[in-house]
Amino acid sequence: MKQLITIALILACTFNVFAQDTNSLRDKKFWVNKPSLEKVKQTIKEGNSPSELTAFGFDAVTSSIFAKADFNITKYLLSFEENGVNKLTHDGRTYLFWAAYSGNLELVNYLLKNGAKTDIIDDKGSSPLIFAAAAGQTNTKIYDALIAHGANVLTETSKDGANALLLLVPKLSDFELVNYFESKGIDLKSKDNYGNGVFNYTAKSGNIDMLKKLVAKGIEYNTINKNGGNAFIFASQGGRGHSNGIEVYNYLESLGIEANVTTKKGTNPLHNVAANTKDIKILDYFIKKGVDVNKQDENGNTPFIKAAQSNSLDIVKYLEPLNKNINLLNKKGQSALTLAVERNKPEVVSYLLANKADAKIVDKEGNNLAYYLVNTYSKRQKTGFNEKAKLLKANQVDFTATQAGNNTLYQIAIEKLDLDLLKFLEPIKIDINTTNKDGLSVLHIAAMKAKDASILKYLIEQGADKKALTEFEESVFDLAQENEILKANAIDINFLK
Amino acid sequence: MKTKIKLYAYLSILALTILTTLAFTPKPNTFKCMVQMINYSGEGAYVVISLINPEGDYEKTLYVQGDDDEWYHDISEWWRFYGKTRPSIDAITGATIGGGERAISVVEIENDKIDAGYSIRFETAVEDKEYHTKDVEFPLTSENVKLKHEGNGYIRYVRMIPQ
Repeated sequence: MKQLITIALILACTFNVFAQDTNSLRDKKFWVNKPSLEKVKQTIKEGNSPSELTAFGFDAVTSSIFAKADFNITKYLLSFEENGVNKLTHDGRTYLFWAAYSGNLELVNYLLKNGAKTDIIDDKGSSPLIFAAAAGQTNTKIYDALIAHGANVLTETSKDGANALLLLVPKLSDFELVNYFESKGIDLKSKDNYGNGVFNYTAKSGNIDMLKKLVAKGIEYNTINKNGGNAFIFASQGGRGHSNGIEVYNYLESLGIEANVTTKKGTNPLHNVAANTKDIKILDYFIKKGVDVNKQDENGNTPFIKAAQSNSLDIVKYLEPLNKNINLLNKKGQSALTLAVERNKPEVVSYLLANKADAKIVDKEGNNLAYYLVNTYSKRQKTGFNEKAKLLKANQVDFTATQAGNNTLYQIAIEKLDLDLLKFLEPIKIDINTTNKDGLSVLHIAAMKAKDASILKYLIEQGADKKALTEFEESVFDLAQENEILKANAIDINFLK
Repeated sequence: MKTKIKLYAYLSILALTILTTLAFTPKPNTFKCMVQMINYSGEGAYVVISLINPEGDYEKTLYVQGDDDEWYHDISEWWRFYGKTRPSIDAITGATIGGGERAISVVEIENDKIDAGYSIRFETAVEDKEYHTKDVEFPLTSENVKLKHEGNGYIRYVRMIPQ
């Protein structure tokens, strides 16, 4: 029985990464043309799964919700047994989260009537009501429906303890919704677990009009939270894909709030803006206020390290002359260069190397830069990968070195199950039969993870020993035999014997 | 002279006390513990290994696989026990375990917890997916700690080997 479930599970979710673009029902382009119910039925008949999840956890139902498809279409997609009302999708959210977030009242009511739970908590710690509020949902009927089915506005909060009002106000331009939630018993003066009130939350979004209205209403604004942070820390964090402009900081300053602030965790506004702003004026603003450019936060990162990790070359270049030590390490033993190799573009890596960043660096766990390069390999960013590899090789980074856990780059690379990446390692001449601290060779790991025979055959061609046993006396064949995906795909593994 | 004898007497009592304490303090047993995952697709799994007392409550966290504590609240049953006080755990490793992979760890279990009604629990959580409170759970008997135990969720099986 267990095997049946396992196989069903695999059939339901294998190869999502590759299926992503092939399933029309999850393709935006399909929905843009407002397909009819008949068209949707036809598309399913053509072999597009109505329930299969993408690697990111989205399916046909969520796509129909985002596309604001006709209610009957979503209802039809929900009629498939695999699409139960409480099915978990992206970030551990059910359809109710997405329906409430999109303000689709008809669907919210339908889901609730069919047993959708209002007390499911997603991966980020939010209930459907909290998720809708954080997204700026202004239709009170959505909240009414959730509340009628058990949602509790007084106890439901974000992971940080912020209630619906703290999360919603930053998105508002008047107090209509505030009055609604106040009538449900929430106090506009409430705080989250760290002592942050609605002003700090609104500062984060940079909604100056609302900030002014909150001040006029007598809401506290010049406060220090339990972590020692103030509104400047919040404003400098910005939001997803958004960082605040200079006018927000000027406004906060005009209220007498201190710009030069450091939290108990060692974070100052420059740590945040160095990672997210594209505007040098903003860096300048904080530097002129005396904010410490060389401050290490609790993880040992400085604004410069943050910029090298995720910002553009312009910003990195601007901070470099102010940065005392290009080879400063954070608590994990990573430098600006380590994090640039891991996350940023080749031009940032190149710039740091040209400015005497140490290419031979090894982190506290024992990984060198080649590990960071290979470990973050992605099919979609091959050009960047190759350019960074060239830079590292030119700077004598050792691609044959043993990494943490006694892994070679083969054991790191096999995680990606990508033949091109393995071929990239070919000229480096690493001993392909090296075992890691768990006694596993690259072929053992490949047997456990492979989805077909190609990579296994390639490794054997390269000299991988199929007779090697693990420390639990398992052969490569034994491991492949247990692999449910190889089984489900009916891959012949006798060549491993 | 008298004080010297007294001192010797004290010393021998002290030595005796130390010896008896050492003899009766349960020594921890160490086990090599291999957690083998099924070939599920998706993000790496967080795995928490806990000691469960005879009443069925969490007693101690033995091992945590996955070190980004931002996600610990996802392992909700355990988080209810651990999250309140968040004592430091010696055995935390950085990497989560992906589909088809295995993790080999060393866990310490005190002698007096074996054959005494205690159990060991393996709890798993994967981003975007179901959470399994009791992916694997079995009573800590001297027989059980040498066997292979099948999982119900992301774990294919767990193997323990006394060290």
